[in-house]
Amino acid sequence: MSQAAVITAYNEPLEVRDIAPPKLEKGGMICRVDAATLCATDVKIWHGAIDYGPILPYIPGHETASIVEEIDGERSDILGEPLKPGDRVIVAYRFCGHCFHCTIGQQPNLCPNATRYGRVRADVHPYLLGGCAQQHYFPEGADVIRIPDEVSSALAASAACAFRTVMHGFERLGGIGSSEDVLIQGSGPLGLFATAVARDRGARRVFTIGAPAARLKVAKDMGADEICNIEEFNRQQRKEWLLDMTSGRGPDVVVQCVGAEAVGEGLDLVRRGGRFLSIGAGSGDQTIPGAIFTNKNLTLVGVLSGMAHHFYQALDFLATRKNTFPFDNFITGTYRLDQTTEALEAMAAYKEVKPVIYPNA
Amino acid sequence: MEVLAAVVSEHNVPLRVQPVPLPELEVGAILGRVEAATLCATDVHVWHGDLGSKAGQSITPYIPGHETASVVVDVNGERRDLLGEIIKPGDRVVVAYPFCGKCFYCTIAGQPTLCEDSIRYGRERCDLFPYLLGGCAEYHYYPARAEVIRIPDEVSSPLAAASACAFRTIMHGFERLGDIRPNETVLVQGSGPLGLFATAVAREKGARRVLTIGGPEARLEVAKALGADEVLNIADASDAAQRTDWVLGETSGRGADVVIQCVSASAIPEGLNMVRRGGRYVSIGTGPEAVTIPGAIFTNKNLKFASIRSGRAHHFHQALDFLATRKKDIPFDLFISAEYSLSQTTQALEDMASYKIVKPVILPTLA
Repeated sequence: MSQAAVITAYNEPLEVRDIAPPKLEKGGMICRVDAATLCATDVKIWHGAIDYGPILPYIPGHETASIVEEIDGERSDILGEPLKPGDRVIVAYRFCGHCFHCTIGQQPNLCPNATRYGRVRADVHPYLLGGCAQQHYFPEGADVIRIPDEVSSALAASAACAFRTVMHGFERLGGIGSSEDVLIQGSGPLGLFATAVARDRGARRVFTIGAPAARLKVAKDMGADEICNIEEFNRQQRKEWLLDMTSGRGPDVVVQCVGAEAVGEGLDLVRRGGRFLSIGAGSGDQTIPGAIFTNKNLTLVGVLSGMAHHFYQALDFLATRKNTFPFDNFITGTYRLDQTTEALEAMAAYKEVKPVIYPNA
Repeated sequence: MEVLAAVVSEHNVPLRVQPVPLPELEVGAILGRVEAATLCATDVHVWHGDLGSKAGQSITPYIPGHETASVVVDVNGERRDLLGEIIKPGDRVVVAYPFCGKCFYCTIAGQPTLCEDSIRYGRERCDLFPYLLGGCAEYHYYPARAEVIRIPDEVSSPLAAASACAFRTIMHGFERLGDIRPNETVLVQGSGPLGLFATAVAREKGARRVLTIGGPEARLEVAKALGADEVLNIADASDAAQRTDWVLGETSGRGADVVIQCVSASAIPEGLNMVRRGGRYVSIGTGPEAVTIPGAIFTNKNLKFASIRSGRAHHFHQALDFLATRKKDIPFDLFISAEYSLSQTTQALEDMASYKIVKPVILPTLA
């Protein structure tokens, strides 16, 4: 039996249940969860704000670092090295491999048949598809990425969603010129990772806009030259602040790490001819002056999720830049399985950057 | 000495053909005799007063027309074309906007089309030196810093003129779009000059299929002649949802891999519903109106989106070269649907405004 924190009704406290581990399918893998981190998407799903269909009851958590316990047959990591019990891994969503997006479009992150974690019914086989549990099942065909020794499980878990999406974003953005200023909208996990990557990729200056002050302090640690707290400055003031620092033009690159509601502001802030990378999701309309989409001569890139090589890039970044960026500042609170509700609430209230659940603690 | 020009003295009021001073040439400046001036929708917007004021200042009186093919009459000093060849009287040319060459956009960013101090033909006052900065006149003044592109012999002056705005912007758009894969379907929103050129280029760049949405029927016939596999007349599908369904029906329910917006900003929300997840969107048609879109659409659809303003000298070259080298395969002459004299410029603007004409051409030598 494996214990799991289960959401049985939206917005209601979670219930810790015993769940029978599934019978392994050919190539399937069962792992012991070492650390599961939560992200804003987990909160939104819990609140019922994103519609994934009839998923109740489900185990939340799609950022999971785990240790291989059992594999049915042979299975290798993305670099072809055979996996064995005891290996510490993160695992990508399982893409179907035979739809238009997987094959022709070469964008499996858009696969409509993907098995996603943290939003799948826990009362049907294979039950254990969320991180907030003692064990996790990973279906055959999902790419496995080994966690470097230098990276803690908690940090590796957080690389499994936010950070790999940021890596995907920077890949699609392309290079950053050494004379280019980068604005990061948002100081949640996405924004903090983006701040570090923009700094590492050689931006001239990195500005981070967000809240609260504790997160902005982490942004500074991650390499932000200047920060702006949205609790203290309104949209007009933020614009003036930024124009003032960019010779009246606006930043060359804006990375949106907030959500739909920040898109209009970001497009207003980026300089004419600049680039806008849109990562934060969410819902709601934005009304935008038409000229922004024509005369401003912008390049706009949207990214959803990521592919296996982005997980690899994120883990590798954490390992090799360990001494440059104090990534441990990300992990702001630790919780037991029976405290998962509390962790979700703390995330919803922006009290945490990354809450981590240790289900086997 | 004075020459004749069609002058807009007041927005939305008929133009008058009147004498305008012939300027003395500054060092490096060129005087051209206008062979053909074509009009574009922007000329109509500027005439209506919707676009084109400069730093909040009125631009009247001005000579409309920013798509002009000229024959060089006089050069003060030595000038060379884009490829370094000396320009002499008798050469047939189109000339880019003169960018300032010393602002952030011209120098650091490498994006001179965003230059804040460029002279833009067809919307500069003609009561101030050098007076002749619009195509609807007998002569055109070209400042020293403007790039000059020679017109290939194979290309008529009206067609060369048409390439001086719409077509060079399309070339800029396709450059920013990048490669089109042989299995990709391209949707062109719009069948005005921008949309028609985009249809021809998408076909030529090897798109699997090209779909063009627009109207009226006469323009869609041209779209087909230029390579559209399927066309949809917005008169037959007046509802955006109907048009989106048509695109989905043509693309296995996914939407087009690439959408080129050649209408105006108002077409963007519809176009974003027509592009497939993971697809690419190029926005070219301009317009002042605000658009409302789902804020997360770029993220959730994993889109790439490029907006295009104007074009650079090498895009003029690409456009003229395309016209010259694809002449026998693509019936570009269908673009030039009516000729007007200088005194008929008002009529030409009205015909453009009512979508009667794809590219009206003003021939100042026409009596």
